[in-house]
Amino acid sequence: MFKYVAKRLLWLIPVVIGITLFIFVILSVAPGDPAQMILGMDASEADVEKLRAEMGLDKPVLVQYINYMANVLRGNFGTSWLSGYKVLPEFLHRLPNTIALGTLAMFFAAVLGISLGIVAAIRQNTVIDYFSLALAVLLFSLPAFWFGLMTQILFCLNLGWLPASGVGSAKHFILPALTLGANVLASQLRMTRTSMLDVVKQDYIRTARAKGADERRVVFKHVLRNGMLPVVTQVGISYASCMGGSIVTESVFSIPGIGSLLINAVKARDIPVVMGSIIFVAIIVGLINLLVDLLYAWIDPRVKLSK
Amino acid sequence: MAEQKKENLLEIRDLRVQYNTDDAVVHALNGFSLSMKKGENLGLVGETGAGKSTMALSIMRLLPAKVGEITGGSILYDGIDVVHAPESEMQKLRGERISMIFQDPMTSLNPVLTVGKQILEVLELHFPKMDHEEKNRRVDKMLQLVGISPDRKNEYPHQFSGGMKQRIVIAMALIAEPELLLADEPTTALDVTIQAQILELVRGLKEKFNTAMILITHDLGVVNEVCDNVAIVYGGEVIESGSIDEVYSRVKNHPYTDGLFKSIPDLETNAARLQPIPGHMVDPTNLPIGCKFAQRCQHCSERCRTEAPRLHRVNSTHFIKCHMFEEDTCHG
Repeated sequence: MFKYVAKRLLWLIPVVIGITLFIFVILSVAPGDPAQMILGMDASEADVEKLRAEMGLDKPVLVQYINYMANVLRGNFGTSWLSGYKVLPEFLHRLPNTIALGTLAMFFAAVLGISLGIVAAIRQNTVIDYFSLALAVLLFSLPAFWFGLMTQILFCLNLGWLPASGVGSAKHFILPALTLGANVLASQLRMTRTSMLDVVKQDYIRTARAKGADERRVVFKHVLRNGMLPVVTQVGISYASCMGGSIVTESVFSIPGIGSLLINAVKARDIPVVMGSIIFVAIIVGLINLLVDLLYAWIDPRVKLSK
Repeated sequence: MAEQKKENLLEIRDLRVQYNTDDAVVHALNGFSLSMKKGENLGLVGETGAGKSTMALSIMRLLPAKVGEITGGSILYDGIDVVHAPESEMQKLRGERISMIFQDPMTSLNPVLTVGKQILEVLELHFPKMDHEEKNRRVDKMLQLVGISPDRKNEYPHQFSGGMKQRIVIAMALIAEPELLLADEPTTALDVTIQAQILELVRGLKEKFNTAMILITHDLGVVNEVCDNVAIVYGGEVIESGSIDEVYSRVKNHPYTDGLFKSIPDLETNAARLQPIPGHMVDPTNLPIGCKFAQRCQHCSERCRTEAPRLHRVNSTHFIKCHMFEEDTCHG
């Protein structure tokens, strides 16, 4: 177990190198010159060349990459070309917002989605089942920007219960988490229902009934754990994607998170910010995947961790 | 009549079961009747699709929900009306008084629970007051009886071979020492070499616990070895029943039973070819009016196509459902 975890953590190193190299190359071959963008369109050719040399942009891409990674290993993530702030502190300042938003959204989506999915499966083809289907279709189809705006109008403008935007207290995260989680809730509801209904048909469920188990025991002891396997994987994937930042939700609720940082940096070809963010996101996603795999192995004894 | 009911452990009368599928209504059991005494060993023989498993699931009332439906007849188990009993009473019956060994051991065990826990569950369900250590002791003892080391009880089903899984299923079925064991083709999914071991195990254990058994199979040889009585099933009804001696003596048999015997390879006679029964199993979505075997029967007459035969009594224990045996009927 420990060996497996250590191995998986070591595997993160080539993964991060691969991802960063890929992004770095893409950004360097993309049209547009960062030096020109910093100095503005009316800057002289000589000035631009000078700045390019200062920034190291005149060197081959691979050399630039190695120089950058060497700095990263020394703990120096550089400064934003666009605004001049240091990348690491800015990132660490924003990270908690993204983690709080993503975790809260996932928690809300998983708890509600999975429980509704279970109820829908148990009460298949009843009003509750149809209601949950309608809810899932609705939540899945509503675009986040619209859903976010509507929650703001209802809970902030009309009812005055919750703040509409910004960060500062736990209350600030409730509406964004609802918005971000709505979609995930819908897919988890359907996934749980489908998976439970699939497990109910299995022979070993009939065996459990043949032993004299009542419906409650059959569902909670025999169906649930088997039915959770595909759901756990899906929760992991959704959680990991939340960690990359949720651009729409962050914009609607003016939350300073990773998503808005990253999208602005990409637009401005602000390589140090993009690269720094990518490294962190890659590590976080890797850790979440590891967690999901450990959880999976804990639920299903057929899954072997060590290889 | 009342006396007879008393000594019978199981009494199935004119049972009708159908599966309502999206495409068609499948008539799985069509007037299925059977009775069984305590401790009796009954072999239920028939082709795939004859309704053997449906009968077993009906006794447990475990027909697939919403699809399987009992449309008529009765099942009386030791005075309990199985068709109408409340679910809680059925739960008490299942696992404790009637238990079942399923066809495919590969899929009948829960993959995420240890085998020990799955066997223990039967005791937890039916003997809630039993001391926990006693329960564990019984699980260990049962595992030993089926030939599995109790040290392996914390392992999961995927760590066992098919034959061992079936032993675990048997342990689960017998740990509560039930009165009736429904063994639904317990060896079909297994290797030939393992089959004999498993059958021997089931036979030994059921004698030890004095359990009655319905052995469902399509193998007449197995029935001969294990059972006292045999019932031949065709098209969802029992077409012949009697003691092993009566049926296997081949003096009087239903044409279908005769066909079954003729399609078994025999080491003693030097037949060049087996004689299979021509044609296919009757279509359960479209049953004929007359005898269900008529279209495959060599002795078929016009009457067979238009009139369903009644059960004729060859002697006090041997019954055949065929017009040919009408003169044998001794009413009463």
